[in-house]
Amino acid sequence: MKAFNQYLQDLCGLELTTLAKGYKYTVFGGSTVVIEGHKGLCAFLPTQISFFVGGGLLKVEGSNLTIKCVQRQSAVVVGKIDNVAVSNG
Amino acid sequence: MASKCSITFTGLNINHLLNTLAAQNIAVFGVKRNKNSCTICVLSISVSKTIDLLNKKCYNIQKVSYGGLFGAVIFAKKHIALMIALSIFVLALCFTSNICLKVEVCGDFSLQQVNAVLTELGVGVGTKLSAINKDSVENYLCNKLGALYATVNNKSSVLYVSVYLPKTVDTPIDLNKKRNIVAPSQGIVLSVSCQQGTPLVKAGDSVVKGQVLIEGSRVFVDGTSQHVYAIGQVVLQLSSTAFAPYTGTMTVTQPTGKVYHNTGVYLFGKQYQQQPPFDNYTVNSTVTALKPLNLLISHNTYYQLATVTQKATLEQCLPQLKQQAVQQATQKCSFVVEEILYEITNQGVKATVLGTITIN
Repeated sequence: MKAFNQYLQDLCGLELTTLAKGYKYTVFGGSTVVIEGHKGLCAFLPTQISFFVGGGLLKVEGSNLTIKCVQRQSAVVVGKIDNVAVSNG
Repeated sequence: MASKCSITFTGLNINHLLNTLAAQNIAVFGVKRNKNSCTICVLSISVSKTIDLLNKKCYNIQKVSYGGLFGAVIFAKKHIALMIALSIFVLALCFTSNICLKVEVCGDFSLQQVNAVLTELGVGVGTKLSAINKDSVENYLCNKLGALYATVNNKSSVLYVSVYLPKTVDTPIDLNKKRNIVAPSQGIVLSVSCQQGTPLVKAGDSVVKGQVLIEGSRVFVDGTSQHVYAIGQVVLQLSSTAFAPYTGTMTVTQPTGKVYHNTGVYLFGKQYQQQPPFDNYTVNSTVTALKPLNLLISHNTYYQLATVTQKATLEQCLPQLKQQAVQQATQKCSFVVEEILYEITNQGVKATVLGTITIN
């Protein structure tokens, strides 16, 4: 039985190091965004919260946005989420 | 779940600060930003580290709110005297709840009687409630006081003791036993009502003390008689007479002309003033109240009186003679005065006081 990471590697055609060093974001119900693997907060506004991610910027746009939790490599943003976009800077 | 603390601060570059906090493994929750002011929540274990960092970075900390158990500990540390007082209070409460602080007595016996018996047993204020054997105390109270029953209970620090006398019943009357209704004093019969027995007097008769009014016997047609318990009611009019002689003179009290003035103070119910130099006097006072000081100022004028004996006619002496005669007549009687009759002669005034009594 293959390990999950090995399975992902074959499926996505990505190297393991890329998978390990990458970032991930999950949107729940249009009101919560969980970001993993960020490299710090870039902007914090009620309408936009941006995080540095590997090779780019992850923007969460909406209204009444607040940071529910921010840790070393993970963060949770809550509010009325309109758009989550990653721009390669 | 670990308790969190809320920190409100102001400053610039808040994004950089949040990154710094995250980089130092300080988890930040509930970030709320309002222009230059920001409120964050951190775990209580990270509070001191966060505050140090904020001070180091020259952020202005406006408010720190501690929550949960950590907050309670901080509050206790800040109000150590209150915590000590609370602890002493709780200990005192636990201790005194087992001590009798008051004894409440109810029933047919007085507090002093019951307390005297309780003292013999060593029960009273200050006794340990757990050391009191309630059954023994109840039995002792009944035996010592001759009570029908006693109950001893305690509620918190109060001991409730109830002791009751046995109920007594009136002695039954033997209606076959002879009993007469007799006059307790001399008087005139006003009315006679007889239910059982034989009345020996009628309305208008004069009776003397000890005279039988209703005899305890039933007379039959054939002449035989039977002893019975006399039941009835007799109303007697009683009287007492006294005479006040006319001597041709009367004593009157009249002012001598000497006057004395002074001023007195009434303060909280007590009077402070100089006494007049007269033995007999009449006084005229004007009182002024000074509120809200609760002070009364009285301006007094004393008129000296003297008792003189002077010649007087019978008409002039009449009120005094009447009062004297009534007073003497009332002193001799043992009934309630209902009517006063006067008989005025040239020798003086005779007063007769009348009253009624009902004999059953």
